[in-house]
Amino acid sequence: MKRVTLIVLLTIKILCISLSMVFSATTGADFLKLPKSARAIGLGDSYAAILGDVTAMEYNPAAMNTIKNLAFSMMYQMWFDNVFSIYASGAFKVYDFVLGMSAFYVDYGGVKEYDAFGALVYEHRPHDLNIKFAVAVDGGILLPALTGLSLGVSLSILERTLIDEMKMGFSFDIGLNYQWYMGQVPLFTGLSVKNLGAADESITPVQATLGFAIKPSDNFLISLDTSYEQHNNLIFR
Amino acid sequence: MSRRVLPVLALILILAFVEISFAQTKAETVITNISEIIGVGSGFGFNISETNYDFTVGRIYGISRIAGIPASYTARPLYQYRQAFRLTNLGNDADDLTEVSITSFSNNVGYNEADWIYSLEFMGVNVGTNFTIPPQYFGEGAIARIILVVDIPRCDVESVGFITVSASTPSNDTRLVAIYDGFNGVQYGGHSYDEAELRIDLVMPNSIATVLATDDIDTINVFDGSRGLRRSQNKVLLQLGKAPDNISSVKLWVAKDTLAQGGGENEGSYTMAPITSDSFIGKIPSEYLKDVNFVSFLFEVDQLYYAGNYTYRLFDLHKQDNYQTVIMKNVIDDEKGYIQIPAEAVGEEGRIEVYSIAGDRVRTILSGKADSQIYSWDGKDDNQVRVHTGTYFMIIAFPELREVRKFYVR
Repeated sequence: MKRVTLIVLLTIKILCISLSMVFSATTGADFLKLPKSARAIGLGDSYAAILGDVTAMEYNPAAMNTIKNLAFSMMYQMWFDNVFSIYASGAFKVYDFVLGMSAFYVDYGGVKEYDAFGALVYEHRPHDLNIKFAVAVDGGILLPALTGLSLGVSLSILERTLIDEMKMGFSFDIGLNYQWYMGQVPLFTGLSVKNLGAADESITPVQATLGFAIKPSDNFLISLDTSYEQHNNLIFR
Repeated sequence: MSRRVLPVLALILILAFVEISFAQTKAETVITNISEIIGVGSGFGFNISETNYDFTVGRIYGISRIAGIPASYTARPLYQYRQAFRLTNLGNDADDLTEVSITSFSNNVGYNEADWIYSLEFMGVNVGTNFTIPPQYFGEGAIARIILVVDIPRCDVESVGFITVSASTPSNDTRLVAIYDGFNGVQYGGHSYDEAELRIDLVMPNSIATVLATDDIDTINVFDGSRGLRRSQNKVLLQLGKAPDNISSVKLWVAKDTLAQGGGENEGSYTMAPITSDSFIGKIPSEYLKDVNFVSFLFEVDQLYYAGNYTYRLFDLHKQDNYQTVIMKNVIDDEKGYIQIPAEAVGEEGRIEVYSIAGDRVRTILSGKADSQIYSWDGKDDNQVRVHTGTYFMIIAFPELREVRKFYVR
């Protein structure tokens, strides 16, 4: 009962923040929308249905479920105007569960503050950090009817270091993934809802994605994602 | 007489004695004519307060009370303060002769160059600062109305004045009517005299609340001029505190490399146009901003000069390394941030847009031909909703110019 009450209160809090910020085109954690996987970028960031990659936890935590032993990933990315990000993640299988963790750091490359006369006043170093914990499991251990359906959930702790203060936040991701075959050709389907949370007195940039992928051969993969993002129309990747 | 009658007679005698005693005392107390002098507030343009309502002699011998009704400033200054007093004669004076005078008058030293002038009026006739109320006007039971008139010359400093008004019945000094040995221990026959003090706070109608420097692109709330002016800032916004309802003229006196002086001693004055009832804007001639180190301002509001210390250094814009565009204030709270594009870009087709870290376009500032060198961003998106705290990127794209500049919204 206490858990239910907590969930209800949390939902109300998020809804209140959402209503107050519903007309804003920005959120307090837009950095979460930056890509984090080189492979996903290669696929046009269409990655909700792709299985077996540790970076999948950033797109659909359920997709981690096919990791057999250990998996690691790391990426350094120059964004623009000295903005860069560093991403590292790892996952391993324990019994029937796949546990993952990632860290995502975004540095804004320094912000030079100028006064009304154009003179340099100070150089600030704002940056953001996201620590994520994820778990994925086959649905069969919860309910025999769900065997073959991967389930995943993740929790993110957000830290925003602004020019004169630090703010914290959180968000959840949930996802489903299912693989089946059309003849010998594997098909993948993924559904994820990302960034359900709040940071800096706003909701995090919620994104719901439905993805399909087909793998006609070992070296050929076609993927399509359809996403609904806050303040954006449907996005096809 | 029986034993019962004797106590009754004794009681009657005692009561009669007491009654006679009290009656005699009452008759002695009403021996002078001035019962009270009451001020009736009629001044405006001043704050009035009283510092002494109580008199040392008390009701019997002299002035019992003097009062003014405090008036707050609500209109343009008249610079003449009028305060009415009422003087009542209770009678029993030898000749109904009463003198009223101003026994002291002072105002603060800051007003030395323009002394306050004061006088008394009785029945509408100016009789100077000391006068006697004629007996025909001040018989028993009469009420005399005396008006204190204070003429305060125009001056641009606030001031405080102290006025002591006295009234006396000199005839009672020489004519013994009765003996009183009561209140305050003063015997009848002494000078029947008392005084009251008024304080007048002269409140200047205006004060300079804010002085801002502005650009052509934005006429209000651009830069606080207290630190200096950019050479591109050619307008001055003046906001008045305690502004009266009706201001007839506001002028901006400007001088370059010297202190501004009113009255035609400096290089020029320019009428400031009203924006609101208490805000005015005036233009500094562009030639004043060239090749000089500082300019100074002096404001003239309804022929009063508000000198203050409005001397501002002139600044050129700082060049910013590796950039052609110049950012002016890019950490935004509630105000705007500004950017100056190169002069060569004016007239060119281009765009200036603001993006978030995620690459989402937040605001389109310019899309098309640039008609000005300076553009601003107020920290809002295209829907006029304030963006969240964080770093934003302004893309400046022209045929010969492509730069990304960072802005930060608190």
